[in-house]
Amino acid sequence: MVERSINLNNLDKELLISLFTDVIRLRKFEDKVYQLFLKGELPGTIHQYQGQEAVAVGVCTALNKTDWITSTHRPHGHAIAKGVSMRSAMAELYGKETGCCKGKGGSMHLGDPEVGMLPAIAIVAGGVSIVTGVGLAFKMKNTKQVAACFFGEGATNEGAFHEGLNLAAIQKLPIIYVCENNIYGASTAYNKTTLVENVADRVSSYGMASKIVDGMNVVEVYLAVKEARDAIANGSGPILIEAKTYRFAGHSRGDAKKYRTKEEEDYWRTLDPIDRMKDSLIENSLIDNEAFALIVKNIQEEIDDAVVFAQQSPFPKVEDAFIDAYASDMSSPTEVQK
Amino acid sequence: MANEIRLPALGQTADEMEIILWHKQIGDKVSIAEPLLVVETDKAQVDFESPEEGILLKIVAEPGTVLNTGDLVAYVGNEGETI
Amino acid sequence: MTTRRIGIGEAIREAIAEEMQRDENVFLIGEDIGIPGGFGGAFGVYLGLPEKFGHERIIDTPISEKAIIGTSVGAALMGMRPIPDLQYSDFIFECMDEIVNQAAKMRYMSGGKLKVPLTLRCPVGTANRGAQHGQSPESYFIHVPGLKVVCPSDAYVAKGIMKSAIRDDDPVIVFEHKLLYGSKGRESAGGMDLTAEVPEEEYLFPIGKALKKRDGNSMTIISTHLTLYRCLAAAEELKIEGIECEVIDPVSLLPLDTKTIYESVNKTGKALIAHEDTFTGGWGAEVAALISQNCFSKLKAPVQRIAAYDVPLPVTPVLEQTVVPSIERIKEKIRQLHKMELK
Repeated sequence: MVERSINLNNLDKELLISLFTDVIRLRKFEDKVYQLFLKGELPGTIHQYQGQEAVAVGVCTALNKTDWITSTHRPHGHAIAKGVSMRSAMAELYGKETGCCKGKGGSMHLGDPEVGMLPAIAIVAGGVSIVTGVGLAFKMKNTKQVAACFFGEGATNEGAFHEGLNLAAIQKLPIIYVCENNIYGASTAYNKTTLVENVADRVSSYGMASKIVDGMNVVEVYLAVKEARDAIANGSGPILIEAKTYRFAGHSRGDAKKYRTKEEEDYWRTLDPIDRMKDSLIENSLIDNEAFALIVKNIQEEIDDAVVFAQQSPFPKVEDAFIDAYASDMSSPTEVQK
Repeated sequence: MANEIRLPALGQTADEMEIILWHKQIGDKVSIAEPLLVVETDKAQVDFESPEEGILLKIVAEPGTVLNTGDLVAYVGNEGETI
Repeated sequence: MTTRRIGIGEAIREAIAEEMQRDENVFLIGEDIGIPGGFGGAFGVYLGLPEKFGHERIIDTPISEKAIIGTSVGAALMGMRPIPDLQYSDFIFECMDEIVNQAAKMRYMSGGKLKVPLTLRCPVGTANRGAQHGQSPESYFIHVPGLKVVCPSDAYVAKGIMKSAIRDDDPVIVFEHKLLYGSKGRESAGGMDLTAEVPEEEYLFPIGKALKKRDGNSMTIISTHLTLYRCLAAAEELKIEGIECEVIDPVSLLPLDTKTIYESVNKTGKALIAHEDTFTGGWGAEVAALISQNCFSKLKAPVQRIAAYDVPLPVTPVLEQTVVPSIERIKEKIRQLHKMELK
């Protein structure tokens, strides 16, 4: 059982309010995306992030703006937390030209190099493979940047995980591996796939340090990543942080979630990162209901603006389908089929 | 004007869905994301949660009906609103 | 003979259930396939099977494609008949080594002493999920001696060929299109009826046999999966313009039923190959080369191909529909070929 109240650790009030606000931003954004999907306005499917906000926000706030992150098929929270604008993310979900990937990436590939986020890789553990190179570049160019790699507990059974972590460890790369252990890989519980209970316990086999955190506690996540980043800056080599968390929604849309029990879902709802943070802030007289209402109002406006922007943005031009496969000049893909 | 409630693409790869049962009755209050009804898709029986909030004013598709993505199932709005 | 109309998903489920009943060496292995309260496999094909056959023969795995296929190869070498499942064919790249270097080559390298009777199921096809969840990678595998590659596009073929694949002593990859499982196609994909008459009595559909789906004299169209249905729709619409297309479903890409294909092209004198995989190096290129070589004297025009343009798959519908061959684009190509005559 997890201790429900959050220890604010005497952190700066501004920082605490910022963490709190961002967690709510992610939640409200995702709730809105879900509603839009139900209304039939978004193509394809969505993999929702509600419940896991404390992880994305804790990590991205602790990183420097120039640090990079890699993400997964469940990237909406990571994108907003890292700094992709709601307008840009929403437009991408609508498939519009003004989206962060110009309408070509879609929900599972959100990302923007301008804010230090690679387009999310939808292949499980794909990001773990690639982040090794990101970290290597930082090391070789001595930029002091750090890369954070998000993945779920399911990814730890991919070959890429083993190879990526082992290589990063021996090369002492500046990487923070962030495992969002939300118990289920699609419908399969982790303990049905792996004998070792904690992902963190597996990485000592690479000679890598690790830490387990309460992934529903944004302050705890933030502090752990800050500590890890400082350690890496002092030459510790890569670190894995396992955040115990939960996705409130199903794997993707149309998931009846019959592989989970109501008791389990109810238990994790009591650990809602927003409610816990709000209670702790109020207890410590750092916020009152009026201030909370104002935060929510501002976020709602930000989201509504993003939706209008996305709806009013144009779709990409048909010709855009044929550009940007290559960086260099290549004959047009339409020419060969004439 | 009351809001039209249409079926989104809840199926994995097919558009067809069968209405299994309604959680809500006419006159009930409905919140956003509250389960309205159950449909059977090509994948499973799933809840269709309401994209709108208000009062369930009219049900257009009864259990047993087979519909497609985009088809109208109900109206949700304020009491007394026109449909 | 009694028949009933069912879809591909159901047909495959029946085939697997019948073969599991018939041969205790047959087992399923993959992710999310037997989990209670779960999905029954990514597209629900396995629903009901765990209750019938138990979890000893329906193995849920971690997300470990190399291990899933590696395990299947090893078990097959020891006399079992595994049916591994990869959820989305885009994930096949995780286990290319196990398929290309192990499954395809063990028999040859052993001097014929060993065999690898596995049947790998791979859903293909774009469905607005983006570049890494919608590929049609059949073409990579026709290039690998030792493998067999089949592409069922209707329930009758699907059930029969799945049974044949399971009984086949060679590794068979069964590529199914993810938009063709149900009884009715998505509106956005054409909304066609996808059920077929499937006999109650047991039957097999042989690997290496093509099907003529439509008779005609103007040209021969060779196509699979969803593109096949688009070609059939295009052919119907062009009747009114006096163009009568003969449409062939090759079903197996490796081994290819060249006899049926050459017979048709020799009759019509023109060939168009259509697929959802990308154009350059797609299986259409191989078939085009074979036709050019073997039907040259009867050809009235160069062999044509239509396929997805050579770009990764964009997610937004207006771009995605531009990239894959649509009914309109197929019609234009048919008209173009119809007008061509070699001087």
